[in-house]
Amino acid sequence: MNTSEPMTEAMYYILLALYSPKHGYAIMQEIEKISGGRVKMGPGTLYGVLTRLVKNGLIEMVDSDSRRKIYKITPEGEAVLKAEFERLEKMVCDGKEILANKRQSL
Amino acid sequence: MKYDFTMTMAKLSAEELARRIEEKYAGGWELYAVSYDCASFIRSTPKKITAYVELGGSPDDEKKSLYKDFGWEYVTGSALYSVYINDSDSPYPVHTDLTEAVRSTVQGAYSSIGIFLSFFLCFMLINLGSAFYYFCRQSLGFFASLVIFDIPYLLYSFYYIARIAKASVNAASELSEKCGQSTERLQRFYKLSIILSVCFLIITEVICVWAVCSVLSEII
Repeated sequence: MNTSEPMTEAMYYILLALYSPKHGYAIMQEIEKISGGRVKMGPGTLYGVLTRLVKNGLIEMVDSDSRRKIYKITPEGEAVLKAEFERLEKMVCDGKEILANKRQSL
Repeated sequence: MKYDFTMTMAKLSAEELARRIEEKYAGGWELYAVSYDCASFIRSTPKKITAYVELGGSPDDEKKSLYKDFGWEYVTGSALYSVYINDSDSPYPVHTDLTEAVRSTVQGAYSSIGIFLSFFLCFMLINLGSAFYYFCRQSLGFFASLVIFDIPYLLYSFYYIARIAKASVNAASELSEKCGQSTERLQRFYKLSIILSVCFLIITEVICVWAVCSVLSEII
């Protein structure tokens, strides 16, 4: 993966959704389910991110019919996703300490 | 009237084009073809649709299929545009992430400039080739037919495709500003392409005019 490029919310959720193989529309449905409807994914965004993730080797095509391609996360993608998860978790922890103190002072 | 030809595509941004297409559908016209400067419509029944015009080359089957799953039907496209329509009352947005929308628009702008340069280089090489052929073989008919038909088309293409490239660059810049990204590199690339093209255009035309003058002086 291009390490200079930060992971966007769209990339994060697509990688999460692709722990089991899915085609484009099913990815969107899975993302809505995971995020409880908070994250919506349009076809333009989805196609752009999928193309880039394939190019970077984070997902791969596992099957295709005449219309749809089915993708799945690669081991490299899993490693990148876990690293991003840990980074986000750390950010939340850091924020919690300060924000919790601020709440108490109020 | 069965057909209506709109010749104003190069003057419009992708969003303006989409709104025009929606108006045409509401007025009972259906899009059936686009070229780089012209949209052609055919008489149909009035329909309320939402149009989306994407800059860049024709989509592959996977992209068409994915957009269709979301209700966006691919209608037609050219090397510069792809047109999708959606007849739903509340269509699913094509881009839901501003960063991805910027990336896609900037890619479209680079693609427009690339097409502009490749069109231009092709015509320039044809003109220079025909002038060279004339000087080597003194074949007036071949040279004259190519240059006479080619130069007006070269100037016409230069004007229209440069405008489309400019509209794409402006759209990408506007969108990039919204998320604080710089398009300085894209702007520089566009300006450099125009400057280089104008320089080569002048050189090509001088050579061709010189060749035409030498042909005329021989005839006279």
